[in-house]
Amino acid sequence: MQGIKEYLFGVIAAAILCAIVSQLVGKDGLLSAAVKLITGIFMLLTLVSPVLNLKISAPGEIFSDISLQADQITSSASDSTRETISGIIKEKTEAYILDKANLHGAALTVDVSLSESEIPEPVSVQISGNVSPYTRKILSETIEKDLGIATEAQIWN
Amino acid sequence: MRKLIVLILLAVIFAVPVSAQEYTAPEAPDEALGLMPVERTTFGQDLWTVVKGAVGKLQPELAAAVKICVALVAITMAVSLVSSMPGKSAKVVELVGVITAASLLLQQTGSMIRTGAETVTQLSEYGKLLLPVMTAALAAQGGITTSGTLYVSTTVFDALLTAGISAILIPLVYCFLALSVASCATGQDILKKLCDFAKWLSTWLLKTALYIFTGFIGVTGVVSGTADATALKATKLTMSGMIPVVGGILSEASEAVLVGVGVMKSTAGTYGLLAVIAIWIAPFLQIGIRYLLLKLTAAVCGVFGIKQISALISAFSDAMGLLLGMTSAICIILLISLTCFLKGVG
Repeated sequence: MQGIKEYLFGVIAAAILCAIVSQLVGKDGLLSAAVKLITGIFMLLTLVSPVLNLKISAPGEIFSDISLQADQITSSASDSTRETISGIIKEKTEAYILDKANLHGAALTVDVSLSESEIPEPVSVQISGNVSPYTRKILSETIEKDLGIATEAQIWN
Repeated sequence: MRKLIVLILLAVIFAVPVSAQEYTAPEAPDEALGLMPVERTTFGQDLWTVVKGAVGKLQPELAAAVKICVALVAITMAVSLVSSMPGKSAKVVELVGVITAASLLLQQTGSMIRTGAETVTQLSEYGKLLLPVMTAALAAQGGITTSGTLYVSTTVFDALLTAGISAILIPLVYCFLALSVASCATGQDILKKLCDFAKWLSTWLLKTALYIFTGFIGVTGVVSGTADATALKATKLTMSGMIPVVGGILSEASEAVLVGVGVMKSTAGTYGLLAVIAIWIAPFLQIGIRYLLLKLTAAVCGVFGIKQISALISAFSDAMGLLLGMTSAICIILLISLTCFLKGVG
């Protein structure tokens, strides 16, 4: 960028110099024609020489840095959303099981585990509390049927 | 009192977390904060409050600009009067007139260029704080590809344009003014041509940057938006194929979170839009009023037949036009980007 500034100021300085020289020489005569030619060549060299030596490098770093930032922001946001949704699903699933247990007069504590997949589904459950074998059977069947948690994934304490 | 404390504690303990993360727009800078509405109503009314506040602060600027314009007309009248007198001093008088007018104009133009450059920096800095918030909110809403693409494109264009303005366009405005003064003083064609080139280059760079940005946003917006919409549809299909109770729980949970994030994104986005406009509008009006007054003064001075001074004033008004273009370009990039973020997925 500093180079561009210097280039622009160089061109302006050259143009003003050429204009002053042309003004001093006047508009008519052989000298004026010669000065016009010389100032023209001088201006051309001033304009072209830095452009010929210009080295253009690909701005790869800025793109990769910003892409990396974008990836970090989006992945952290989607992780946070997934975490929140998982929390609500866990809470609602546990409430559902406790509700069914209450209907049968059982006082239980429930801890549901969710899958690590993109859509967090209930995969296993730990149930603690005193419950009769009959109620346990009915609850186990309800959990399998309504929540899709297989009996093998239900841990009764 | 004890009951109230217990109630608050219970509310905190049993509250269902709708969103784990808060998405709030960063506070507008101090100068812009004064223009922001104290209480939020509709976007239209809030925007009107910002515009009204900016117009209200314009009075001293207008008075200063009018003073300079009156002085310029007085200089032109004096030069016209003296150069019409017999003798060979007409050229010298015109040269003195051009230099006097230029020194008068350079004072206000210098401060306007600084104001323009500061506004560009402020807009860019505010964008750097606001864009990550909007990106995260849109990603949390399911627009992962769209938000990433919008963030990358806006940040890259903003960085390139801000760097370009401070390193190329602002020096180019100074060069344009120097060339204009020299061209009007000496009457050389080459200087006039270079002057036109500097103006054309500045305008072309700004226009091209905006065309590329809007084109890029348009194309990538459609492509990434479709990808996100398809992914969301696929998720909904998977949920609908699940056991009804589980599907219902999943659907309710995701719906609650998405609605919560959507509300936060909308609030942050509209605040961001207002803040960007509040940062931009006061300098825009300050420069804009000078641009219009200088155009008028150039037309009035043209009546007195002193072409050099009229051309000089016209060139300075063109420089103001370039400054308006620079500040507005960054503002437009941020406004387009924020609107895309607010539009969301699909």
